[in-house]
Order: sequence, then structure tokens, then C-alpha cells
Amino acid sequence: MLLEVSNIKKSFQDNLVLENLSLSLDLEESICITGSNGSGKSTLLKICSGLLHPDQGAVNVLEKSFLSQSQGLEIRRRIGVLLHSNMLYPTYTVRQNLYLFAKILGIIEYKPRVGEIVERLGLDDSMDKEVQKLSNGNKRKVGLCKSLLNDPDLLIIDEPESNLDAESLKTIAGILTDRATSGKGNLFTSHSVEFSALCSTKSFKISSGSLVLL
Amino acid sequence: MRNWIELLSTLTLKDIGLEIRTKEVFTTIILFSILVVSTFAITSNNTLQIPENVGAGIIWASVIFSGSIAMIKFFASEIENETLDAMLLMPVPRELIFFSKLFSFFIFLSISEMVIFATFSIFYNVNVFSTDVLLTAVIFNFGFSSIGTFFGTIVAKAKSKETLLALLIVPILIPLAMFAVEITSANLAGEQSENIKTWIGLAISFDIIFVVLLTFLFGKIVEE
Repeated sequence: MLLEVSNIKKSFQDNLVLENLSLSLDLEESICITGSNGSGKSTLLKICSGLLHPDQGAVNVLEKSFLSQSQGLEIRRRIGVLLHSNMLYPTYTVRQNLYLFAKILGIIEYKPRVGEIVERLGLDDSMDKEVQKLSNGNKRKVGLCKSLLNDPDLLIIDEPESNLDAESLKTIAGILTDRATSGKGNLFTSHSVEFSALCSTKSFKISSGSLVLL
Repeated sequence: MRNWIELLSTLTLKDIGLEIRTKEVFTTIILFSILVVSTFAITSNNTLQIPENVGAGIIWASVIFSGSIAMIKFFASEIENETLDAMLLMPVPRELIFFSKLFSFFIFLSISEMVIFATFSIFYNVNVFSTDVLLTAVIFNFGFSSIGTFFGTIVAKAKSKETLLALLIVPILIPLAMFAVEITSANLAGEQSENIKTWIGLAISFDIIFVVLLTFLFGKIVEE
């Protein structure tokens, strides 16, 4: 099991966002979460990536828990995360950003790995441009490259389609599908029914803090 | 262990690389401090007659206030671009994130202080550079950087972060400031402080206690 979320509850002050939410994601699965704005999709992904802790319930990623620091490090080594923000250093070039994160991830042969991902996402020509000078779509692609660097067992993406053109969307859908067929897992949120249909094996909608299978 | 050292140097070099591009921290500390030192010099009738403890106070007060403002800038871009979250999502122990920030700010502060000391030496026609003062600066900067890193992370998302950070760190820094002023004023008088060993011992103990305590607490506060 790549991800197991059991009966989690999360609230921010008086605002209850998630309640008794459970979800499991197995190998070769690609799960899409939909829902209206403010329904708790991003909160769920932040909890699954260990950036937030639930008030109640348990989250196990790759059968390990973020509550233990050593297990948390092991999980982070094996997952890739792209949230709403691309989380990049704007004054660094694309190359500097990707090399930095690859080094932090402990990838020894990081240059060929970066080259391979960048080529697939069509960013070869932008490698020496500062991230702050890129279009929003290309920044998103760099963020995606960053999350794919370690060929993660579980990829967590918040709205992969934001700011991307139709051709780039097809490429990303292809990447997600290839990952699922090669035994990896994907968890992503989306507002696009077409994108979800292209690359998800299951879809859920968050309604009143809980998941409903579509 | 070797991996940890490599990781720590990668993170520290990253902060230094970013600062070389933006120069925000250096510009803030150096300009603000020069402004304070030169304002005192210009408004004094005779800079040669300023008491040594007042001169030392001018130096360290300008370092503390300019350093506090620079610390906010140091963290503001991390929060704005959510790159601190990016680091939290990476397989990096929280203690290493804390130490990389501490070391980076220590380097920025130490380089900036050399400019401040030189400016003070020119305006007041005294030599601030001595082994005692440089050792004092190292001990002070280490404590300041650890306290600033911890509280800088806490207040980085607050609205009145500049005021809040100064209010939080200045009272805690008082023992270190007293130590720095004592050693520097003795040096400005051309002497060595009588209790220099005691002061250095106390200041190093202060640094060790705060670094150990804040390293532990940093992991807790960045978790959520």
C-alpha cells in the first residue's frame, strides 16, 4: 500500500475542513480528487505529504508514519510533491534549482537525471533562465520536474493542469499514466474532468469534508 | 555523518548563493549600521571625547537593530516563495535546516560587522579591530544568529514582523550585548577587560544553551 489515510479530521480554528476522511492508494493507482474551492483538497494533499498533521486519525505513506523523524525522512526520500506553489528559488536558474534539489535528494548522477526529465517536459531551452523570468506555465513545469527528480514511488500534485496549455497537459497525463503502469502511484487534485479522465484510475469528490467515489 | 556535512554545506551554500544574487541582507545591515554610526558621529561635537562604553554601545546597538531587520528579509523570501516548505518536503532533518540558516546568517553578519567596525574606526579615529573584539564578534554573532533564526522563522508570516522580531530577540540578547559592550569598551580605552575570561565563559555558555534548546524547538515549530 502506497498511502493509507484513516479517519482523519482537520480544522483550522473553528473551520472544520476534513472529517472522518479515509483513503487508500495502492500500487499502479492514480487517484484524482475533485471538489469545489475551499473543500479541503489542498489540505488533504498537505497532510498526505507530511506538511500538515491531522488533528485526529492516521496517515501512513509507504507503510511508514511522518510522526517518526527517521520514517519521515525515508518517506520524503521516496515521494514527490508539487503543491499549489511551485516552491522554487526565483533568482536561481532552472538548472541551479533542479541541481540543488537533486543534490538534496541524494541523487548521485543527478545531471543526466535532470536532463532526462527536462527533455520530456520540453524545458531544454529554458535551463539557464532565471525562474522568475519564466512564464507561469514553464514555472509549473519546473516544479513538476523537481517533484519527479527521485522517480518517486508516490507522486502528490495539487492541480497539475494549472497554467498549462493543452499539449503540456497531454505530456503530463502521459507521465502520470506511465508511472501508474510501471507500478508507481499518483495522487492529484484537479478541476478538469478531461484531465482526470485521461490519467486517473479512480476519482473522488470531497464533499462536507469526506470523500465520495465518483 | 559525511552525508549530513555535505547536506549542511549544500544548504548553506544555497543561502550564500541566493544572497550574492540579491544582496538584501548585506545591504540592509551595512547601510543601516553605517547610518546609525555616522549619525552619532555627525551629531557629536567631538567624536574623540565620546566615552568608550557609549562608543561600544553605538556599535552593538546598530548591529542588533540592523541584524534584526536583515533577519526578516532573510526569511521573507523563503516564506513568499514557500521555499522553506520545499525544504520541509525534502529528506532533510529539521536540525540541518536550522544550522544552515544559522551558519549563513553568521557569515553575513560577520562580513557586515567588518564594514561596521571599519566605519566606526574612521569616524571616531580609533582602532576597533583587536583579537578580543574579533573573538567577541564571533561569540556574539553565533548567539545572535541562532536566536534570530529561531524567532525569524516564528514571526516570518506575521504582519508586524519587524517590530515583533525586535521585541522578541532584543530582551534575550541583553546578556550577549552586555558582554560585547564590556569587551569592546575596554578595547576602545586601550585596555583589556578585567573579567574577560569570565565574560567569554558566560557568553559561550549562553550560546551553547540557546543553540541546543533552539535546535530542538525549531523542529517542533516548523512542523506546522
